[in-house]
Parts: sequence; C-alpha cells; structure tokens
Amino acid sequence: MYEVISLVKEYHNQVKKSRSLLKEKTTKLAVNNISMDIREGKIIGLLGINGAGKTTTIKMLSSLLKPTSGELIIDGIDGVENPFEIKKRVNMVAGGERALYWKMTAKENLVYFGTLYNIPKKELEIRISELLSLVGLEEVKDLEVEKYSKGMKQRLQIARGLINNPKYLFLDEPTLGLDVSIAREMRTYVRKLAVEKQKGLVLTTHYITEAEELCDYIYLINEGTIISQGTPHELIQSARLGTEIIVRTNRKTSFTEEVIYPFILKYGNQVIVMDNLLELRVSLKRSNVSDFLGLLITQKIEYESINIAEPTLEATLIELTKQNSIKGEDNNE
Amino acid sequence: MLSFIGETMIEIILETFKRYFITKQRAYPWSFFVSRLIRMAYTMIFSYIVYCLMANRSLTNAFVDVTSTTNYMTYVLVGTIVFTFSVASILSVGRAYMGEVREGTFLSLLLTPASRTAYLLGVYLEQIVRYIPEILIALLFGKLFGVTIVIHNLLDFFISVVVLLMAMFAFGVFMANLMLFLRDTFITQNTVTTIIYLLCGISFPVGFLPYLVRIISYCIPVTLSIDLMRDVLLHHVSIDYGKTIFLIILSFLYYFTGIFLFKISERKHVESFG
Repeated sequence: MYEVISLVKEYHNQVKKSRSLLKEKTTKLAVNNISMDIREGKIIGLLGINGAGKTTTIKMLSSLLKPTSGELIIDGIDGVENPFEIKKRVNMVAGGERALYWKMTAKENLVYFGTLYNIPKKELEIRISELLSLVGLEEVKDLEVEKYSKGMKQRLQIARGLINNPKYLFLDEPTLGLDVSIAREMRTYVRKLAVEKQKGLVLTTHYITEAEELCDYIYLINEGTIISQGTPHELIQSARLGTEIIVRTNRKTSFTEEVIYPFILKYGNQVIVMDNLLELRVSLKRSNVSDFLGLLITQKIEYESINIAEPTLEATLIELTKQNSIKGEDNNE
Repeated sequence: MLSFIGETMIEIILETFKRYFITKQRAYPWSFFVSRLIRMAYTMIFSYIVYCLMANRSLTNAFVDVTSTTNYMTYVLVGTIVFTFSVASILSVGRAYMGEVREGTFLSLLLTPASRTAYLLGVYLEQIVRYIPEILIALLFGKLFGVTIVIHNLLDFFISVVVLLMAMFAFGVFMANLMLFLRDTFITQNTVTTIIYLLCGISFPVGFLPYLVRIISYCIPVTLSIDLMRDVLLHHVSIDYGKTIFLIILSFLYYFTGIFLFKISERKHVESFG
C-alpha cells in the first residue's frame, strides 16, 4: 500500500513589485495537508478544477517533487527519505502525444526506457513482448512512433509506464485529446491494469464520466485541500442534490401561471417553466418524486414526456466545489 | 556493488549512444555532417585568404614570438579541428536536456533512477563517434593548403586527447544545465560559439587579446585544449603539465557546477511545467 500522510507543498516565488525594481518573496500553498491511501488493484480518482493541486500531488507521489512536509510511505518504506524506492515502484503516464521518442520504433522506445530502469536484457525482452501484446501493438512494434495514430501513441505510453513493472501507476489525464472510441478503448486498458495486473492506479481527469466509470474511490481537491472523498455513489449522496424532473406538455396545453400554481404552492421556487411555457423543470428530493407525479395526475396535465434524471457525479463535484469556495470566502470575511 | 554500478552505467551510456545515433540518422542523415564540414572549410578558407591575400604570406614578428611558429595554416587547422569538435560536443551535450524538454520526455527521464552523468556520456559518445570521419576529411582538406599533421610523441598526444575529451564533456555538462536553467538553446548556443571563436585562439593567438579578455579566455577550457593540441601536433614539444593539471581542475569545476545547477534547474522545471 502507498500511504500519503498530511502532504504539504509550498512554492516560493519572487514577484516584481509594481513600479519598483525590487522583488518580493511570495509563498503559495499548492497542496495543503493531503492524506490518501493507494491500494493495489484499485483505481483512485483525483479530481478538481484546474490549479486545484492534482498535478503537484502526483509529482510528489512520483518523487519528482520533494514535499515541504508530510510523509510518503510506500510498502512500509519512507519515500521522502528514499526517493529511489519510489522510482522503483511507480511510474507515470501523462496525456497528450509526447513523452515518447517519435523517431524511434515502439520497441526501441521500450528498450531505451527499460535500460534506464536497469532491467536485465533478457528480462526486458520478455517484458517488452508482454507489454506490446497487452496494448495491442505487437504487429507495429518496428514502426516509427511518428507514424502511429494518437490512440496507438497513447497505448505505447501505457506500455512505457509499465516498463519497470510498477506497483503504482499515475495516469495524468490519459485520455486528453482522444476521440470517443479511442478514449473508451483506453478506459478498457486502464480497468484491465487494475483488475488483471493488480496495479494501484491514481487517475486525474477532467472527464467526470470517465472517473465515474473507472474509479473505486475519489478524492475531490480544491485549492490544494481535499474537500470531499468517497466512492462515486457516496459522493453523490453527500452533496444532497435533488432528482431533476422535466415534464413536456403537448402543444394543446401549456404551463400557464394558473396551471402551475398548485406546484409553486407545494415546491416553491424549485419550479421553473421554460421553452414558451411547454416545459416544466423541478428539482426534488428523491422521496418527493412520487408526490410530484401524483400532483401531475390530479391536476390532469396532458404531458408528452416525463424525464427523471438522478444527480450526476459531475453536478455533484461542481456543487461541492461551489460550496467549498463559498465556505472559503465566508471564512476570509 | 561498484561493478554493478559500472555495468548499469555502461548500459545506459551505450543505449543513449544508440538512441541518439538512430534518431539523428533518421532525422537528418547528412545535413549535420555537411554543415559542420562547411563550417570547418569556411574557417580554413577565410584564414587562407587573410594569410595569402592580405598578409602576403608573411607573419609579423609578434605572431611568431607569441605562437613560436611560422606555419600559420597548420596553426589554423589544429585550432579549427579542436574548435569544431568543441562546439559540436559542447552544444550536443548542452542541448540534450532541452531536447528532452521539447520532445516531452524530460519528466519520464527524471522519473527513472538512471545516472544523469551516464546519460550525458552517452550523448557525448555519439558525438565523438560522429566526429571521427569529420576529422579525417578535415585532415585531407588541410592537405589542399599544404598542411600535414605528424604525431611525434604518441603518449603526449594520447594524454592531450584524453584531457581534451574530459574538458569538453565537463563544459558540456555545465552548458546542459545552464541551458535548462535559462530554458533556452538558441541564444545561449550562438553566444557560446561566438565567444569560443573570438576568444579561444582558433585563428590568432590569445596573446593578442587584452589582458582581462585573456583571463576570460583561459577560463574557457577550449583555449587550453587547443594549446595542448598545438604543443603536440604543431610545436612537437612535450605537453605542459602545469597547463594539463589546470585544465583538469577547470573541468572538475565546470562539471560540479553543472551538477549543482541541475538540482536547481530540475526543481524549477518540475515545479513550472507538466
């Protein structure tokens, strides 16, 4: 297990004062007291808006950056004191098409990175062949990477990330810029790594549906702090968002003031009428849904369709981030 | 343990050598080679024109006093060969990290436990191998100007080549980290090439430079490397051990300053970029 305890990262910068040649020292708290557990065979999501501190956290977890304070315990070893122990056990795959040598073939790339990890030649040969077959690039292993499609490059990146057989793999926006079908293919590989290869994965992504589909546990970060955590289901529950009901009428009737009056009486300003009085939207607690449907019937409203949508993880994350920002502003006041 | 470290370092050196060789071969099979030959030819031809047409093949007493030679074209050829090799190797090693940054592979490289020195040695080795045919062509080219280089003392020649290689690598390591620190290759490499050409005694003796500029010139390892090579190949005298030791000390200084700079520039880079 990879335990992260009270991780803090401060950046010290020198900023030029306005109308002065002097520079002022500033300190920015990029990561503030983050703790998490990364277990083998599980996919952990690290979500948050841009600048939330996700990439800084991943850089510390992979030994690229030294934390200002906090502990990194990797398989019982102090990773802050022994960054080489982290390097042996982790690797990182970033999104985009770079991080590979385009003038070299897939096999040459993997041989090179394998050598940098001091993997014995025979072992390396076997591993490369396994990895190429895992990511489905065996047939094109001798083709220069610049001739690969985006999806193939990204698959090769995964193979590169696995070259040192890491126990923990960090995936920083692995599907960035990929089209829908390739992104879906990538998700299949990611799931395979956790389930079949028992790797502990940490995923950062801006595609929330991707996180919802893949992650066993999610940490939501805002301004360097974990503001919420749990399984995707637990997170949705914790935000207490309502179920959204959308009712569309046929063209004969419309949601006039008179028609919606009983609804406003019962549900107040939760009721919104849109689209030239043809659509009614209401956000309710799940337990009130049947009441609402009953009211529709008793009011004899001729509807064309009813759409009941459960809260999504995306809406939940936006809501939780908003709540946290408001709380932060209140504390500052 | 030591042999394990040695073995892994050699593996990294050889694999990096191979990688650079393959990449350059595929990216620009001839252009690098030809452009450096042209630069070498240009320096020789320019010096020849100055020597024949402007100086009318006569050297001033001051030149002869300072350089202890009347063989100007050999003087220039040795200077040009060392200059071209120095610039090529310093810039090749120097641009290595920034090349990785541009390819987007720098962070992947930093993630590995591989020795940075072994990596840079691999880049340097590729440069040395690539340079060997260029020296042979330069020597043939020198023949056109009536220049023949003869090695009288093989041991001194060997020592001066080893010290030259060491000095250029150390300066290259320093440059690699400087370029990473400044996040620039273009301005830095052009400035360094110009400074080396003007200050290090390629086609005229350093003794002609003002005193303060001469001090700066001797702080650049290329100057002493050229001096040593000229002692062996032109003056046919024993190498100056004082100069040799000074050059070795200078090389260590550049190497360790480079390593120290790397820690700062690595952190700066990782903090700023993804």
